[in-house]
Amino acid sequence: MQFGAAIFFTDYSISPGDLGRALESRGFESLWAAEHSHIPLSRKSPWGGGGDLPKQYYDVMDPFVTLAAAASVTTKLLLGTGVCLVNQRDPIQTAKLVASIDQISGGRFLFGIGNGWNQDEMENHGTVFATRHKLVRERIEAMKAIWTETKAEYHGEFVNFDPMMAWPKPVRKPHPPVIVGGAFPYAARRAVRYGDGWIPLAGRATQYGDVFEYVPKFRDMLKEAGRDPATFPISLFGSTEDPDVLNRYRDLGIVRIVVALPAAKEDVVLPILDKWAKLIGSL
Amino acid sequence: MHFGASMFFTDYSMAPAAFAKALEERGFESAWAAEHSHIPLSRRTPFPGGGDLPKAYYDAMDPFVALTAAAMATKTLKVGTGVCLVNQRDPIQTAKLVASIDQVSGGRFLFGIGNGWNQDEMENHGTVFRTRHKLVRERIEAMKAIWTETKAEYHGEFVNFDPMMAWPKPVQKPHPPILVGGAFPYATRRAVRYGDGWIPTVGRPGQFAEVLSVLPKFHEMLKEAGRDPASCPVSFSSLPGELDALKRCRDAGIVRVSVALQAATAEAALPILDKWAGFINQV
Repeated sequence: MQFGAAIFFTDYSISPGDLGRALESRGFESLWAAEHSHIPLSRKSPWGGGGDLPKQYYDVMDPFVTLAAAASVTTKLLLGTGVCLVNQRDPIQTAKLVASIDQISGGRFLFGIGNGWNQDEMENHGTVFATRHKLVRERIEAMKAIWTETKAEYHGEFVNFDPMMAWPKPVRKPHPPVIVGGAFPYAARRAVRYGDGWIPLAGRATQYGDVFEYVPKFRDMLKEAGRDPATFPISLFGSTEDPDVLNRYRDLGIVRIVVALPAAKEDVVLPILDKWAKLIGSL
Repeated sequence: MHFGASMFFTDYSMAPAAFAKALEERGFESAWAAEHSHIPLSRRTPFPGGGDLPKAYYDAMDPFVALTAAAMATKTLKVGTGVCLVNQRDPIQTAKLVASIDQVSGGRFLFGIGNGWNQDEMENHGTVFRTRHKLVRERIEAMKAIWTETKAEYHGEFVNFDPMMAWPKPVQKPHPPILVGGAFPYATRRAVRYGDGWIPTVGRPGQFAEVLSVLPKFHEMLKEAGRDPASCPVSFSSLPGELDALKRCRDAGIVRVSVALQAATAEAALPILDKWAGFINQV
């Protein structure tokens, strides 16, 4: 079981370069950068976390820039969007961003994606809330075409382009893993349909259910779809520090635990990493 | 007079970090990354360079990712888009990219922009060819609002959003310079209206003298608009490497000249940079 850390990079957090180095030197496998392009003042759809939206949601930098910075000062650390809001991004531009960061990092990019919850935010990107899931599926399918085909074309309901050429292709073949974030069963179904991995949230059990209940159900879904659960990685975001639970996650076959870090400076973040490094060593 | 060098970063060119280090070591001021998101197979509008489109146009990495890598490998080198095709990019996402790279680089970003020529390419981003110039102006105005206002809003014909919040703001105040690329007189008018600089292309035979001859007219346009010509300096891109031409640029008050390296390997690029480094000491 690998360990990663997720953060909202802001102008008051530890810098991407410093966090990348700190994680790599402590044996962490991956760094995950959250994203929100902006936060509208109106709020038609509530935040799943409950209460007021935390300040860092307003302040987070673009994840492709921050992860490219982290990639520049590390050699092994994997770099993931956690998660990239594909419904707010042009698929041709995003395919290019993904391929470019995969090139710059030497094939270390993990394409975590999510379908978002903020209707006002996505509407400012021209996205219709009711059909966002189908939009994201088409965009992912279109990106896969761009990453893998010499002359890519895609003709869907929302995404439509005639043959075109775009390089570089990603370093990872056929493309960086598309790791679908979100709860059971809806996001899980999307992961089964077009994902190379699934990221459920472990942190909100009352809202999203119990990991030990939904993971077996998810594996049944994979089997029904003809996919092999043994080779389909599950990453858990937002974990407990209880070593017994962590050992049970490992025994359940969870491949990666991602620790949520505060958008804070070194003096706050580094002791948390040290504590986790010790905990990881003790498992 | 500053010296820059531009590149189409590809998976067969010199890598952004190595290129940036080579420039900084040789006394260059800036590295510039070109962009094309993709190239459609159909071509309704001809390439202004004439003839077939060079291979590098199909293969250019995302400039924000490439320039982040360049910034991370250097301390003082400025990094610029040369040019960013704003008509193909969502303004809220682009405002965030610009602010983020300005943060990661410590205020070293130069926002070179251009309105493009490839109708098929921009249509795949939902852009109508005929109204692209107005679209770009609105997007630039919207981005300026996002970069400078606590609660930004914009209501135009093409760009429209209610009050929203987005941080971080750029390090450079009020925002990184917007350097408008393109020919006299149309791009010049856009530079006068919303730019902090003008980048004419002077790579074709005879073009260099032609552009120098219109500089007084450009200064006149600025004054008529109530602007001090010093507020909108001129950078020459793709300049031939001739000492006499560079001295004429210096004498004409050109603030920056840059050499275009297309997608050169280190083997091909370094001798050219060495030659230009010699000019830096003589001009």
